Amino acid sequence: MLIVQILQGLMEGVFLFLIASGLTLIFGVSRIVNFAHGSFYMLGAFFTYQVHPWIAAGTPGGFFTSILVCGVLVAVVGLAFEFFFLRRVYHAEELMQLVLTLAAVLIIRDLTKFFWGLDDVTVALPDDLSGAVIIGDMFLPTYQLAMVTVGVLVLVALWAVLKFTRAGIVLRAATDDRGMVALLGINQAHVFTAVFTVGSFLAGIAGGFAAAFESVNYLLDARVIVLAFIVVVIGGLGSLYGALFAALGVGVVKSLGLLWAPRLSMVIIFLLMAVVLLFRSLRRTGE
Amino acid sequence: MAAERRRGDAWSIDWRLVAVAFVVVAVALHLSPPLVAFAIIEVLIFALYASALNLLLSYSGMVSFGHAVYFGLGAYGLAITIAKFGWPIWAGIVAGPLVSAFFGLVYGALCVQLTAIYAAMLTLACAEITFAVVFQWFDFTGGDSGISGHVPAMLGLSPAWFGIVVLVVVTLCILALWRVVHAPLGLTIRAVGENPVRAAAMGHGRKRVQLAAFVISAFLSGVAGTLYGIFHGNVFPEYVGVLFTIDGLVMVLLGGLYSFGAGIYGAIVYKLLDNVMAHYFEYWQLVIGVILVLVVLVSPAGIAGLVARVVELVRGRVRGSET
Amino acid sequence: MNAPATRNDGAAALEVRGLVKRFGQFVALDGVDLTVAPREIRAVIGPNGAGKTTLINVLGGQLVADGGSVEVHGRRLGRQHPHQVAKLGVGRTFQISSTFRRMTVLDNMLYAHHAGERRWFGLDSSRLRRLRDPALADLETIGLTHCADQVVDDVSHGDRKRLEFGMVLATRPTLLLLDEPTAGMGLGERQELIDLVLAVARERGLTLVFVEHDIDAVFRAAGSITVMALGRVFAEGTPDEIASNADVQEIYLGGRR
Repeated sequence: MLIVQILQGLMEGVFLFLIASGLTLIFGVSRIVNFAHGSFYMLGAFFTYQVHPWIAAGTPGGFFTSILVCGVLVAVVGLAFEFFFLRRVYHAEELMQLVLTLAAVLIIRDLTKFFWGLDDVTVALPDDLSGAVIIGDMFLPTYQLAMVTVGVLVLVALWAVLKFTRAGIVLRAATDDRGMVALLGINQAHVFTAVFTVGSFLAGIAGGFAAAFESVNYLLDARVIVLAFIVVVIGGLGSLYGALFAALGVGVVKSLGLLWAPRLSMVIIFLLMAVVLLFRSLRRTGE
Repeated sequence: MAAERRRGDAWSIDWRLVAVAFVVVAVALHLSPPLVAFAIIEVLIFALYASALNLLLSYSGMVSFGHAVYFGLGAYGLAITIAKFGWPIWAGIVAGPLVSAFFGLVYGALCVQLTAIYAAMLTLACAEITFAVVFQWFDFTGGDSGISGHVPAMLGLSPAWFGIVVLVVVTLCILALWRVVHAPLGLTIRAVGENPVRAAAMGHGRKRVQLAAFVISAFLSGVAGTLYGIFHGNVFPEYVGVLFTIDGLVMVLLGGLYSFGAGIYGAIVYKLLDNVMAHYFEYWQLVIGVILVLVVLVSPAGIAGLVARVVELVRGRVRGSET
Repeated sequence: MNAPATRNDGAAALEVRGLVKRFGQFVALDGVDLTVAPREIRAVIGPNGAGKTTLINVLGGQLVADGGSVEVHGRRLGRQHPHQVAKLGVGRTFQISSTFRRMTVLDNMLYAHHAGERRWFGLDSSRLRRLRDPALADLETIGLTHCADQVVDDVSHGDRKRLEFGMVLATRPTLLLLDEPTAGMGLGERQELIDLVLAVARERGLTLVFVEHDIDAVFRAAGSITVMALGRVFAEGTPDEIASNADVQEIYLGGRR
């Protein structure tokens, strides 16, 4: 039972990482605390709900294609948001960036209400993905396994991009020292735009996956953004690998919390974050 | 580049403006039907709450993602001391804001150990934990059904006269806040909030200054929450919940960061949109979102900035016509 | 303005022994020794990466040293926070001028006077009104009366540098650390500021340690010069000695003199 729960938690952790990776990448490069990330995730879910009947027709291939398409659509929304609005406040007070991303949250939420109403919508899983794999006495839903696979693929892809490509080198330079990018002779604005677009894409596909197992409604953004921020903050803002470990940890804690104290599972996660944050600050001043 | 000459924060209170506003609101309370009076009372209470939050956002360099805690705990302090401890009503009224200030002290002491978004996330953690306790400790807080009946709604007064009570309390509190911001302490808070490195190099450490601001803000939020608890004669977990936090934040951002009036203007506009517009247009949050975008792109000083500009324009014209 | 606090005459104003500061693998300060007498005007020069700014940051408390000791007027600095160091009478400016950009120039100076009273609390606003005249007088001294009511964000780079210097003076330090006080200024402005710094330091009997890249300013202003390279003190002496030191010319001055 315990092992199943931990495994369950790890799988949710991979999913959380999918969301948090975009958020932490964006912060690392442009120092933007993007509250709209949860809204992009929600858009991914609703887009998938809208698009998948046209593409999927019940096959896993069609299902994944529709998620990918929706990821791209959300990336376009993110790109537009960055290009037309966010770009103007990179040099303004940090709070101005908060105002702008908060405004995006409000606008996207009401637009969602307008287009899709207040009720839950669901996305039907293709039959091939709705089964389960049984190992010993463990029961692992196929869909979750597929999701974990995608999460791991994303992680590997991000790692490979950061490690081996020129874009990755630029990105790492930008995370460590924003001035470096200029020294490398690269337009900083392009880097910011690219990272924001990729981050939005990741939020979009995460939302697309969520559509098939969560009840999708206009409140999805708030639920997700808080968890995503907890993960990113525990992992250390801007740190991709920190986010990975934090996501797995939060996933497991949440899963075990549901087992032992279902009504307090969020409280436990918040306590975890508070302890991590305070401990880290103690260590820093004690240096 | 011909930089626009901006004037700093004003140092003196425009007493005429205060007096006019006071009289106008008092008269409006007495002339308007109860429903409008209720709306005015609500705006007054939220103007105080948002102004208290504005002390953190605009001046102390902190962001609170859980300020409803200090608002709601005022109402809970009032309710619990009366309903559970059997204190007299006046003692409960005194206790409400003090409970908020106490939690402000405890949570604030933790939060000032961190900076920027990390500190903000810790305020959120404190708030969520508090909410969970309030929501689930049924015997003490009444759980999700809250507490009611401990105090007659509006102290049994008519909306107009209770409105006057609220008006007096809110006016005094905001004037007191003005005095704090423009006293030596306020100057320290502004300095530390804007540039902690410079302030430290001049002998002012960040933590205790920010903690002082946090406690003051929590106390005044508690006054607002206590008033709110008396206004409705009840208290529910929502009062410490995330929606009240977001309301306060949006009011301040709407009103215009880095100006004293942000909370007041923001509360007026936000509640106006909420009460009036929501009847005609379901998607009024979208309108607020659009206004926020415009604030950032057109007038970073928000509504307060617009008001200041209009006042300047009018004064300039009056002066112009005199000569 | 007040005379500097009386101090123990036996002690040096600043006594640094074996100071070490590392950033990961990189050793920024590699055993720095430095003794500055009271009222001395000491320039610290050296090529980029020599550790000059790191030294100032450790002395000001912005960085914590990994080894060695610092004494200010005979009092040992340990792991004090910057605001505690400031209370010992150490004032400093930053390489990139650090002021309160949303406040007016006058409010900046007002704050400096308030901070100079070594208090942070206080609800009596009449105290600030009393500080207004001295603050205005200081703005006059540093030549910023013309923009007293302007928000700092709107004034020129040079004015901000002067303002920062004036603010630090208003906190009445006894040891003043200036990190490139004239960086980014025009030639005329630079000379003016250096003259101002010298005049104030002499008048008030301040001990002054300043990092500067403008060699002409250094030789004009400094009573003694410390040359740093690679995190160490490479040479030390009067301007004449430094100017005639062949090694210094080799590594730093090049063919300048």
